[in-house]
Amino acid sequence: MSAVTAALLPRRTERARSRPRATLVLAIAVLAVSLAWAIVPWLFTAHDPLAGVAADALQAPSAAHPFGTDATGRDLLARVIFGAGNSLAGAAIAVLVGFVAGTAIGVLAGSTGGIVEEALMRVVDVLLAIPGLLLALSVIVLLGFGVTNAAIAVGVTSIAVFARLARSQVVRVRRSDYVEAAFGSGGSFAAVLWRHVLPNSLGAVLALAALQFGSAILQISTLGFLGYGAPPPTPEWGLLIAESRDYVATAWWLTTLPGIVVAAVVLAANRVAAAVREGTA
Amino acid sequence: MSALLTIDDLAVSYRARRERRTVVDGVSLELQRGEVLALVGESGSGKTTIGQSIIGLLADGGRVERGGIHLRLAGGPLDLTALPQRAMQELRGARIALVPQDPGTSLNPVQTIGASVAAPLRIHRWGTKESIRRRVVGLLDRVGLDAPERRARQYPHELSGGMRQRALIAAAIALEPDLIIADEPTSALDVTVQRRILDLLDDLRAELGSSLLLITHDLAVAAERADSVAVLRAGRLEEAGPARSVLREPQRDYTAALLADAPALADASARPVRLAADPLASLTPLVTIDGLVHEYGTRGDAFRAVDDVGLTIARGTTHALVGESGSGKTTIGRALAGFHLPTAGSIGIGELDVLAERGSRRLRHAVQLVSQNPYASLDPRRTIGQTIGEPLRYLPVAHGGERDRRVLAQRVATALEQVALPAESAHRLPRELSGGQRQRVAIARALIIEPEVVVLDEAVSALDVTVQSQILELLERLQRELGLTYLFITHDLAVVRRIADTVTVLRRGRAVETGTAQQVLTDPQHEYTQALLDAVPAPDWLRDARRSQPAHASVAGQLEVAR
Repeated sequence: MSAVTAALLPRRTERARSRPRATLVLAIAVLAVSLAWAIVPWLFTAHDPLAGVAADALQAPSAAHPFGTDATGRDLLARVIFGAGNSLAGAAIAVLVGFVAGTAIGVLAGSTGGIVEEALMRVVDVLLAIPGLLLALSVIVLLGFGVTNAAIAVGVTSIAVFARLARSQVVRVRRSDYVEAAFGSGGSFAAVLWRHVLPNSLGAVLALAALQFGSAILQISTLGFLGYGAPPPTPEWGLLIAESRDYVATAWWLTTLPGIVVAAVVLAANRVAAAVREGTA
Repeated sequence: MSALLTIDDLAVSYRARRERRTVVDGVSLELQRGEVLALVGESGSGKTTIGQSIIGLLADGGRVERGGIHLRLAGGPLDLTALPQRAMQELRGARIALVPQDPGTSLNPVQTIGASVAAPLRIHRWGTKESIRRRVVGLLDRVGLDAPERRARQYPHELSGGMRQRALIAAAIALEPDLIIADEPTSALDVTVQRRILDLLDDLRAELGSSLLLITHDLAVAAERADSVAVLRAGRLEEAGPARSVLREPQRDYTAALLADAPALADASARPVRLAADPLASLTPLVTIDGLVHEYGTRGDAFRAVDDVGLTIARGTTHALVGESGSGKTTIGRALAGFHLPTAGSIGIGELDVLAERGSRRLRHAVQLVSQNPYASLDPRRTIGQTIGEPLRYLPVAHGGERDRRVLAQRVATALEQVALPAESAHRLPRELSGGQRQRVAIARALIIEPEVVVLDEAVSALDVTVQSQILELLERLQRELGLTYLFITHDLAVVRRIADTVTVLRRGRAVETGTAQQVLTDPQHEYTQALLDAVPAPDWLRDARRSQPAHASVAGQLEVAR
């Protein structure tokens, strides 16, 4: 008996210490559910997101249709669930574009210094000076409409933010004693950059990526709302809200419930981002 | 006469990661009116926490668990732990004042000095705007700042560290407080400035009749300035009493160890003169620096950090570069290690021309640098083993480099053993190690490619005295075993006495005196060296007392007394 408790006790205290906070658990749960919606949407709903039953048009939320139905009688929950794939994939692409391009620019600028840094950072300043939505719209006009292009456009708007952050982190780490010591040990520029500068400067950048995920969902929804994203009848969160705005007065659920889903996912992404930042700080 | 400040069984705890950790545990102290009480201890001993709990400014998560802090003012005694915030605000700055540790960061950079000094007067509604202005100028004058009118209009960055500390003292005494808490008031300052600041605090205390709670890690400062001393260790009171009796006849082993390790007080520790014994070595020095000039900035307003300095170091000896901040000693050390190119001059290690070989493999084999701050010089994300093995991975295999993991691990284990660290620390991260252990790691990293010369830039300055003493011992042992040559950069003459064979004293980029450590420390020729030596705090009575004590178990036991 005592052997059993001795074996169990330390593990239990360890678990108690590393128990994450309740909001973080909730946030991760929300993200997990939305991710599951994106990957296997058909497991979560029996309704078809595209084909509607005309007789059921504009029904308020009920047991049969938890989110109600839209003007053509399609189940709104099914459309939200099937829309997750488009919206989340778009957000992931957007973050990836911003993260990769921005970090590359920032690390290059921060580690080389001199004229290269000046030139790169002035380009970044120009990017920052253009309003995000305008920039995104211009990119879409260049690339053409569609879910992927909208995501790339949103990613382009975040390049500047990533570049600035990455550069500031690299500059901070570059001046630290341990980087100097590594050069003193004979490290080449690339080796020191890879071994010391990158691992120590990417923490904040990763946190920004998690944060950017939330705002990318919002921005893609905005573009969808404006009609620059997925063409109807593709279910996409921004588009869902946009299509429903004619019915705000008569069918509140059409705008409110998808809006709540978007808000919940964005908040959850932000909460996880905060945890990532704490963890890497 | 009753005590101004009585601390009774004080316990303070901090919350860290959901656990409460007791940092001060059952400390009782008394401070008489008009006297100086020194709180002495190493970092983490809780001395600053006691100061903070008196003035009611514990850091976040801190809480007084039990005990009382009683301040006996004219109106009667007050229990500071039970006072509401508003009442504490009335006391702070008016009856209890704080002189903070770091003058570099303790003044608001966007406020003028005058505004900072006027702050307590303004907060406590001392008088009209005009009378406050006049009072500020008077205060700045009183703390010994020249041209006080002009200083009041200047910003912190325009003043030196010592001047800023004077301004902070002016702010602290503005309302003639009963109690002044000085938290390491001189730790960030040069030794000659330290003396003047301590003198000033002494004068003001006598003039105002205030009491002074002096928080310091430096036993010598405590011995020189305090009426009574309290020694703290890990939040507990080790020993308290009149300064002379505590330091002359320490009752506790810990106090005795602190005394023995404090380099300023360890008088019997000058090294034997090894140069005289081996005249050949001094004739053909290993390191030769000649006519070194280093300028910062562009040609128009260049600042000459090093001005025509030359020195030689014989193989297997230690040469100390001594000077206050801004004297150019670090610049010389970094030039020797090949970190930057001087404006003029030549540096040679044996046959090697350092300036021509900058950044080359041969230079790395010749010289390595150990920097000041062991907390910043190790990559926080890499294990100790990775850090120590890194120089070998950079070297070409043909020249002693190593790629094989197993051999690398073996070399690291040997290096760890050399600096007396346990072998399993190879898998640790820097944050799991103490400051002294980290400095050992930095030394191991420098030594693993077997350099001839090691530049030690203030390598023990950031460490507690006991740890400092251990690292110095380690360096001496490594020198004996490996025949290393050290350039030892320091501001601390006491450390010089302990480790150096020869010394160069620098002042504003110029070498004012060079010689053997024995000569320079016992018979200084230049007035600046004399001033430096005089400023080292160590009252004679204590030095005499230590001499009569049984010799501490140190290698220097049999050596002659330096002064």
